[in-house]
Amino acid sequence: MAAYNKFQDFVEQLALAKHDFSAAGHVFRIYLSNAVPSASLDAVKADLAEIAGGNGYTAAGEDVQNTLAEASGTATITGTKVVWTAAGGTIGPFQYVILYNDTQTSPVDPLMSWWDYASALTLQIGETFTVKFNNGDPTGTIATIA
Amino acid sequence: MAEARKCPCPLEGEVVIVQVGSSHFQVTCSKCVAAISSNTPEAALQIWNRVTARSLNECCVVPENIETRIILPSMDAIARCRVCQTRRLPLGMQAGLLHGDQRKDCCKEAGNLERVQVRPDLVIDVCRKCGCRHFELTVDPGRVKTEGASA
Repeated sequence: MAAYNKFQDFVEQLALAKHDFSAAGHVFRIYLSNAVPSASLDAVKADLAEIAGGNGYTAAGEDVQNTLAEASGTATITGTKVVWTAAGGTIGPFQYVILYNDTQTSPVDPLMSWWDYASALTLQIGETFTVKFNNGDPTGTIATIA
Repeated sequence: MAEARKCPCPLEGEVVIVQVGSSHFQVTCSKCVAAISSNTPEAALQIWNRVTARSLNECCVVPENIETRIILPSMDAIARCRVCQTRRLPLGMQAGLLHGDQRKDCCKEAGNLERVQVRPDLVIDVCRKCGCRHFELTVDPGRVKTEGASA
């Protein structure tokens, strides 16, 4: 699976109670980027450019429909797979899938993690790009806290 | 902004303005597929008013009838109804219609797809009919650990 990469600021924001992963809590989204993420320098969405909206790609990305459950001392954050379809034109190029908190306003849209597709990809009309969490279909684990 | 507006569609839906993410606003009809988005609610509404000046036919509000989308330099998207042809209706780049798995019919047939496992984390289904590629990236979960014995 594509490796999980942590933005360093995420753990501080987590400890500062800036993230609520429960279904009734904050909305977490993934967006597509073609800019190389920096684990140490990028902290909020504005730090890391998103691809242009249009042709089936929604600016700000898509809601992962996060939920949170705890069992035996491990909290599991799950999400639902996201599918983009290029319609009316191309989407991209993009290489990175970025996860962030779209609800938090202080700081605004703090980043959580990213995954690397490993090369720049452009979706042609009719093509789809699916992101599945931990190979779950449609829902899978985004992260665990133990 | 606050005044209630009616969409000109036959379904007579209410015009709704919602914020999408931190920097985009979407104007949508509560009943039909029409939608427009922009960076400010005022701009989105302005575009909406411009492109919905003409009334919409009944066929134009059926998602299956939407055939062509033209992306303008402004990033607005205009869709054409395949039934009446002459009609155009606004479809924002944020329109729910465009989100999700909107594969063509040939790409939905499992028999038409050739699965290629490019990497352990990447599968591409290629449609033998149209050549479209369908990428599926599986992503690893993160782990936040606190050390120490649990009681």
